[in-house]
Amino acid sequence: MIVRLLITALLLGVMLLCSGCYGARETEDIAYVLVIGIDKAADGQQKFTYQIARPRGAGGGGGGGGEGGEKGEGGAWVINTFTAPTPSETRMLLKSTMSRFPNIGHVCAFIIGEDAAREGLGDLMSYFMRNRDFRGTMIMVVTEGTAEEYIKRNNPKLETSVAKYYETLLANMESGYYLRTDLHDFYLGLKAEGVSPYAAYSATNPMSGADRPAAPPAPEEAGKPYIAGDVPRTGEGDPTEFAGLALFRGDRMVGILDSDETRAVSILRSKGVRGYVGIVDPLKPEKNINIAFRLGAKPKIKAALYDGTPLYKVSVFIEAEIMGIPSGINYELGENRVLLENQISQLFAGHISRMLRHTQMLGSDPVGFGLHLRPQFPDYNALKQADFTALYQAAEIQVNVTTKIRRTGLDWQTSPWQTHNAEDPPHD
Amino acid sequence: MSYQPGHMGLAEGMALIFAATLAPVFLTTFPFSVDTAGPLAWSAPIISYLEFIILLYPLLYVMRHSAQDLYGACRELLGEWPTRLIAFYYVTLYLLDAVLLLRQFAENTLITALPALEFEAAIILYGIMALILLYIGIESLAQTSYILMPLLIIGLLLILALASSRYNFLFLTPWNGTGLVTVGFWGVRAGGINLGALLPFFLATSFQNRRTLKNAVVYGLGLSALLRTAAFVCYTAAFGASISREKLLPFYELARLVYLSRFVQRIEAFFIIVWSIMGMINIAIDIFAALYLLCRLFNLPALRPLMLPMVMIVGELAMLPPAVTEVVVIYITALFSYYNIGTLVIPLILFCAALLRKWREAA
Repeated sequence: MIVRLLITALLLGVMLLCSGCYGARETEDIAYVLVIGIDKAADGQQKFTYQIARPRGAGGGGGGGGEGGEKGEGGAWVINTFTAPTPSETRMLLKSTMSRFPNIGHVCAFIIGEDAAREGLGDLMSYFMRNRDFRGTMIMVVTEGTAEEYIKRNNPKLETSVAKYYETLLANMESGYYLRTDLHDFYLGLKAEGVSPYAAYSATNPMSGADRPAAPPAPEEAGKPYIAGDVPRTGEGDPTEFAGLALFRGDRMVGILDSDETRAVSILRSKGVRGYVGIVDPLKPEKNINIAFRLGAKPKIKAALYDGTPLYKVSVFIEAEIMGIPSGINYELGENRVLLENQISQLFAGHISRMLRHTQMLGSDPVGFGLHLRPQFPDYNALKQADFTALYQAAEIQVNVTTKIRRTGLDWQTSPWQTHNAEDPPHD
Repeated sequence: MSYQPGHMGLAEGMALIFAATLAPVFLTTFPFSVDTAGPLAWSAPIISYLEFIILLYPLLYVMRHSAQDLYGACRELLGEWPTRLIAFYYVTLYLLDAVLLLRQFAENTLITALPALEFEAAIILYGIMALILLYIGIESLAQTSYILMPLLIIGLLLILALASSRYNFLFLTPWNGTGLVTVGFWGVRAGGINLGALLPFFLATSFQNRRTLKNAVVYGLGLSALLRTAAFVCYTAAFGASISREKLLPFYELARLVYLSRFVQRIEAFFIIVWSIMGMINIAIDIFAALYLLCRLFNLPALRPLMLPMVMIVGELAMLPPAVTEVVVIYITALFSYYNIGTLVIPLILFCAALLRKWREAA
């Protein structure tokens, strides 16, 4: 028994040694890089922006922003931008600018400038995926304009740490207006047969309140679809916002989905979609109805291959709850409820169809319809020969959305508004 | 002979085989298989397990010809010199396995956990641990493996469960991979992985009876094959075949994908512990097997004095290949060719010899 205990103790000792206790650095010797921005630079070079956590003692404490990077005295972070042919060189240059060793193992997000994304990310992905300092769970975001400018202007008001900002924001994507993407997902889209890469889309809002919808709303829809940067808002909040999805064909970005199209992708990928939507009142179109919704079941996608042309049948089941009926019409029971359910179904079916038309036109399959086609191939060698982009563009996709209103909020029926025979009383 | 390993029961036998056959799950064997078998590569452990179970009965039949072990049975059936030749082959096979595993585990430790450590130091570290385990003896080693086995199984299954949000089982399609015939043949060639399951046949006199031996193989190898299969299914479902073939350390990559929340992530450090233990035990078992057969081959009275020189030789040999890529290529090429002579061809030759003898006796 003593021998066994001795072996166990020895193994435990080696375990500790092998887990990284050798060559360790003290926390105070390390600078933690939290965000890396990537932009295209002149002469085929790349511009890397490093956002580094500033320790409270060094930064004068407190949360809030470090806008302006090095200039931001007392800020929570330091920003440094380098231009070099490869990311490895920028890491060495970064070390030349600071006393501490820059640790990139705790990077939480990669921000990619749109120009760099449109030029192609394949070369960079090779570095990120092979390097042990990076991990597949690191978030990936494409931004309008340059990543450098975006990082400098992103100044979260509710978080003290920019890492927490990205991780919390992209963990709570219930609206479906944006999707969390990480290095692993993106790389999978690049290499796997049957799905295309995509990334969350973010931008800095000018905060002018200007209303610039990405597309006209659907007939059943009360609101409008937006792309990040165009949401009509004013105020003193963080100008950064997430809405939409950057689409890629191969390693190059080819387009952007708006918020409604992105939610359609979220629904079909079953990415925990739940939230609220404004519906045009079917019986009184000048009024809107507020609805809470969620996916009632994982969407079913059936695939078949007819003479080399894919046919997909998509069934989506939405569960809804009535949150407000300004018209006062009783939609909780009977035929009216069916009418409202059909209105919701048509809205989501319209969004999904619009997203499908858009993505088929771009030749990018963010939902991964091609994955459902894989069992149709006789073997893996035949599958590898297939052109999934062409197949997706040629595919016929039939969408069927069913909605059930399960709950009606805290009211179970609606009483009509009190009518006035006389003219409305004068207002102030 | 002072090196007889004492008495072992079902638990020890099972643990010994489990520890000696699980290591490939941590190495590059599976990504290599994906090149040939595509998304059905995960079936290779099951096919090779079935192959060994089919071979198990001929082996047990062969063992009837000797009151001793496989070495004794071989001598009775084939004579002295062929037996010596076969024993020498197995010595080289177990040594080759020890050398290649030592180098791979040392390199993997440098890649994943201790990048600042000198390569030679990693080899020496693993070598020292293997030496300590060898000195303790195979019986204690088996018992230690048995104690650790539940922890290892739980740890591996926990990682598979925690990474489940990443699985898309459509990546396992087309279900027949590159074709059932191709995959089937590949699975049979992968039988070299079962080398560790032959060890109890060389140590047969230490087991209570033939039934114990049989059950140890069935359960020990079965459990190992089941875990390897589960790991490869999950790995393929998480990475797809195209990425699966790229990775050097599939299970480590899977562990790195675990992300439950901001606070539950980066758990691969735990996994490195698991693989270090398995690596050390497996290397020790391989060196013990080689030394044991060497002692039988040359009728040496003791095994212990050879341990230190042998570990040093294994360490030196492990340092010879210039880069990890060469080691991986040598290991995989040997596993799918040279190893099969020991796990498939020789057992079948012995079985044929046993049948021939019976036929002659009957005539």
